[in-house]
Amino acid sequence: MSLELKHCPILIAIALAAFLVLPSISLATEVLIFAIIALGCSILLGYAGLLSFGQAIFFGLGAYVASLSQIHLGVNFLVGLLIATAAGATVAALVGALAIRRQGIYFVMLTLAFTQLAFFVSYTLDEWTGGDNGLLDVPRNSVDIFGFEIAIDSSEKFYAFVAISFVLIFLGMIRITHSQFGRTLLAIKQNEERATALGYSVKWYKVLAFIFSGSITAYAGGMYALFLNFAPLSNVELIMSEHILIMAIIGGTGNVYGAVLGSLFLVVVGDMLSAFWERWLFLLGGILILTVFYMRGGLISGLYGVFEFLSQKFGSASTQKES
Amino acid sequence: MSILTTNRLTKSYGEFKAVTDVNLDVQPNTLHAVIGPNGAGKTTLFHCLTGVQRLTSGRILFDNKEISKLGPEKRSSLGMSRSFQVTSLFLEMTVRENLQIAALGVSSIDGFRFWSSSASTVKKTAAAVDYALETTGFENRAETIAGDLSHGQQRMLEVGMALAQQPKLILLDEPTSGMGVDDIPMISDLVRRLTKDITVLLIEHNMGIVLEISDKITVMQLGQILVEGTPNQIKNDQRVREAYLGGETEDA
Repeated sequence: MSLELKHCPILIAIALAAFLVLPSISLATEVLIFAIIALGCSILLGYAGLLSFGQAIFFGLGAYVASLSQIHLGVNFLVGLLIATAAGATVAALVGALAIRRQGIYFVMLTLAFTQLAFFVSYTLDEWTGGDNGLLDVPRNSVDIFGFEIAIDSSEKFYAFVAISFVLIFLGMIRITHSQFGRTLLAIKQNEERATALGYSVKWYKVLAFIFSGSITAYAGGMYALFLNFAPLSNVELIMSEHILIMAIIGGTGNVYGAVLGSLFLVVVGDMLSAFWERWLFLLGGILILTVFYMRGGLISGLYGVFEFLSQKFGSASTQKES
Repeated sequence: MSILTTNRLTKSYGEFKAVTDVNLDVQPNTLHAVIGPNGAGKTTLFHCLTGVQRLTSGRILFDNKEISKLGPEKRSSLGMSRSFQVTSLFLEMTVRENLQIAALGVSSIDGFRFWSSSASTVKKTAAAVDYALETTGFENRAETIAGDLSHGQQRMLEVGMALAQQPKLILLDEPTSGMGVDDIPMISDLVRRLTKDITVLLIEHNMGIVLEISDKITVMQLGQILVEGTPNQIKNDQRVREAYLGGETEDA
């Protein structure tokens, strides 16, 4: 319980700060949604040691399922998102179980192949997905419980919903990463052979990591479609997987807050730079190279380094404030 | 009653038979060593016993259960733990965390507990971890990161990992490999002490240690058992001397 008590205020503060500080509410919404998506990636990469190019599958799947279930089944947005999450978990279990049959570079190749597959499936099923044009007019069907209506029809309400989702999902993932399961994943990442010899069925640990990762990514993908009122085909493109990976790596994968920084960095800097410099991705490439060379723990480790430096310089008072 | 027996254990790679018709019989609470020159099939035998490799034919009985077809991760929960010839630890974790992970490996569910904090899960390993810390002499270094230990200490922890699982049988793969001469007694003392509580099967190429501490020795050559007996019998066996060309017997 103490874990939640410690992190809940930090997460709420992040959600509030994003709302108050960032220039637009849609930018803040996007930052929080992508923070969840980057977190899904860092569970796989930072904890299970799995470099997967498959995150776009779950992202796109979540967007389509949340949209289609609202359109065709008429369910409300919350049920739509939950169905999307369940679909994400199921597909992640399948993709995970197949991909982890190979290790190292072959695992990476398999995740690439699955993403390509998902892309062409989405492209071909254009009656459902809208194909190249994307799925248009995604609704946000309001929730109606005993006459009590919850609608997310304004951008403020939508932001509030995304912020609540963000806090809850992050709390859940903090719980998981601090659990024995999280520690076992780290052990498997460090030495798979030893973990197997000690009795761990490594395969199932990786599959479970995939399930957690896939379900939160699909949930966030669903929110993204609701946010745009649109589910573009680009959601399931390989480049989306890359984008997610870069976010997770630049932010730092060993810590859940790295995902927030990664998302903040890519979404906000991207928004600012793209306004006056079309080729801003150029800069991103440079920053990624620098991160990999000099800051393996990502921005979050740089930030902790600064905190440490400050606390050494100004004594223990500031340490308490930061932690 | 034996704790581990193999019945005509054979492992071939294509045409080549690495291990042929090996019948081992390990008695409880003894130190049983398997020795032999390079290429004798010791390591292949070890891999078959730990489940890393499947046997081509034959059977392995552990504690009266047939385990020939079980994978390595299934064997530790039955009470069979191993160490590695090349140190294989979780180098970014502390000594204590290494042992906790080891201790929890024998349960099929504890590692999956994602809903409660790891601190509450590892509580139940306290006794096993303390036993391993004490037996290997790591009480004062429990919080050291495994990667920061000296090579000799890492070899000790390597054995400690197996101990934390509180096994019935422990399989040690050349526990002194790569150790300095001064550190070797540390390991051999430890191994000798272990037989009070558990059975030890030791694969070793250092003849000196084996003659000194074993209860029973199996000598392998070209994938087969050459001779079996007490250290005294082995020391005076002409065939063993020939197999080793008189070289290593004087190493002691």
